[in-house]
Amino acid sequence: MKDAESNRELLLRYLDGNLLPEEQARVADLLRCDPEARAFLREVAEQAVTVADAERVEEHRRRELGARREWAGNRREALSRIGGSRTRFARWPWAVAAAAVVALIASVVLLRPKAELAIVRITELNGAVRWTGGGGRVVPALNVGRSLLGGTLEPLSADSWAELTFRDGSTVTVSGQSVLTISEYRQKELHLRSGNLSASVMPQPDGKPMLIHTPTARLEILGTQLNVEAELSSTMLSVNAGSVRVTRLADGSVAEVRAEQQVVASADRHAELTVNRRPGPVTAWQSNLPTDRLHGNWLSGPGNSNGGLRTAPMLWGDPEKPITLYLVSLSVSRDRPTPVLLTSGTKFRIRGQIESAGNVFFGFTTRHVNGGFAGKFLVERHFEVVQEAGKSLDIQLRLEDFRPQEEKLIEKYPEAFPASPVGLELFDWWCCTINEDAGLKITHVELDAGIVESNILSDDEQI
Amino acid sequence: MSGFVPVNRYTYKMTISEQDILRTLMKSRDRIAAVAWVVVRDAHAAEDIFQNVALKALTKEVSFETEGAVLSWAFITARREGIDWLRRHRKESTGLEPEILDLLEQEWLSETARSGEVRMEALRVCLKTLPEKSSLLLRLRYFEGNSCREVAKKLGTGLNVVYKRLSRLHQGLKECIEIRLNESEATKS
Repeated sequence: MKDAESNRELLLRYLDGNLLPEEQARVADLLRCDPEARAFLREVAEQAVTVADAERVEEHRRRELGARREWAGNRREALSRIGGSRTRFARWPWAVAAAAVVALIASVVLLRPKAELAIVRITELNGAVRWTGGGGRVVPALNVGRSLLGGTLEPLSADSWAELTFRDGSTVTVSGQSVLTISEYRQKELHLRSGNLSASVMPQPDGKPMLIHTPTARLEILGTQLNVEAELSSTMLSVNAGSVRVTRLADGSVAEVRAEQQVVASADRHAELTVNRRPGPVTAWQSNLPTDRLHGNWLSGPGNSNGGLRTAPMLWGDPEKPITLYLVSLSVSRDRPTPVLLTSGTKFRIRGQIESAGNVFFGFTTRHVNGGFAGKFLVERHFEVVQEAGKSLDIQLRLEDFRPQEEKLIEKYPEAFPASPVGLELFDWWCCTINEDAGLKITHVELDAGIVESNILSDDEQI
Repeated sequence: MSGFVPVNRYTYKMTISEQDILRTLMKSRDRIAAVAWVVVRDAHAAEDIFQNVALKALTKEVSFETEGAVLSWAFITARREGIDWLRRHRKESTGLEPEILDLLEQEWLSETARSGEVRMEALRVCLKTLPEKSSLLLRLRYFEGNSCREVAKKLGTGLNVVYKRLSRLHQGLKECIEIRLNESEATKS
């Protein structure tokens, strides 16, 4: 009996990827020779998929419940109507799910075009991300594993991001405040109205490249790894592998951008559409306010010398119980084609003002050198009671102080999401307080290994 | 409705219609997804793989003579799709040798679609009777895809405790299924 239990635990550790090398051979022998061990493995596999299926059906039922309440407009009447059908759902979730899959597959094959199938699945997710699907239905909170038809994805905050995977294995990561619409009829089409996107695109069928539309450009991708930043007035594209054809919408100019090259497609037809080799990185950066502003309210001072970016509120999280972030976020790459490399020993220096006590979160987004999205890092600092209003803020944060935003991703994908930001490129920077407006205003942010520690009061000594 | 395909001038063989193929796949959906899960160990990916397998069965020019042939093809295809998925997501292979995967698939095949369907229905009933803590453990591990270490951290317990609880939970569910099946047989007789 004890042997059977220890064999079961060994198999569970094997499925968890937590075996010593000598135990691997033991598991293989066990499965080869012991039918009971194989029976247990099969049981675990069946139970795993059934648990996940039951959760999906339950989640679907909860969403339907929420949607019906909205439409009904009369809460009591909606609940009394739903009471009967809820019983049916609870008793026969398998039948509901099975019927839905039969209908979906049968309709795809027999009656409807292939486009009705789910286009993408959410493979990773963090922060507030909103989805608007077919018919304009808004889903305020998504979850990993959800399959989506065509629609619009919006990470809402500087610390939000989502990774989508298409059926052919192509992946797209949208990070920070962005608006991305996806569809797939004859070919994959993405509309990046604003924000940032990294894509690793599998080879596409002949004549059907993936298309990415921005306000100023159209990109045709046959199979590559690329990063796109889009605003109303310009689109910056950098290609890390493969090649991309760029058409500037203002005048139809076309350029081919290959690996390690980049281009800016402006709405201004008089600007040049020049493909340049991606410059080598620098290791220092200074903010240029208000030009770098992504989120926050610009407050100008006399002659702009005392101007700063004040945190602005935004709602985040569960729409039933939202959190208010008071947030400032800055672009690092806007108007700067040169990438900023994070190196060991580098420090951030942040200057500004804060008016009340509280915890402040500082963070940034990274990319791989010549690669895509590499995760976000953050650190929290507590500021004590402030005696005077408008207390000056001048702190430094070492790069080593920052921790990854999503620890579990490091375990799952250690190459794609490193544990340390050293060696990655800095993409954007942000700071925020949660649910409390501390009157935080940022006047200057810089990154430099040359910041001298002795001239600056430590953050604990500031206030 | 089944169709007939001419083999030669005087002999015809029967093949299964698209609707029957779909029906067979749906009845064995859990097992096909479980085959994929053994390779990818991600329940959501396993579900996607099942859908791909079903789509391939209906859109590719493959004909099947028996329900068993459908399932045999589906298991092999699910395994291949799982290996492709691992490669696309830059993950290492499960490490299970092909001969062991063959043994598992044969044992799955030896179960009829009907008995498998009945067993899965019993499993769903048993899942509903679990205490909240046990449901949470399964949800964290298999729906949210956390490693056992992450599950232990979320539950504020040790890693070995999680392995023990999972082991007993899986075994307990198996026993619950057998009790329900025996009760069902006793009721019929």
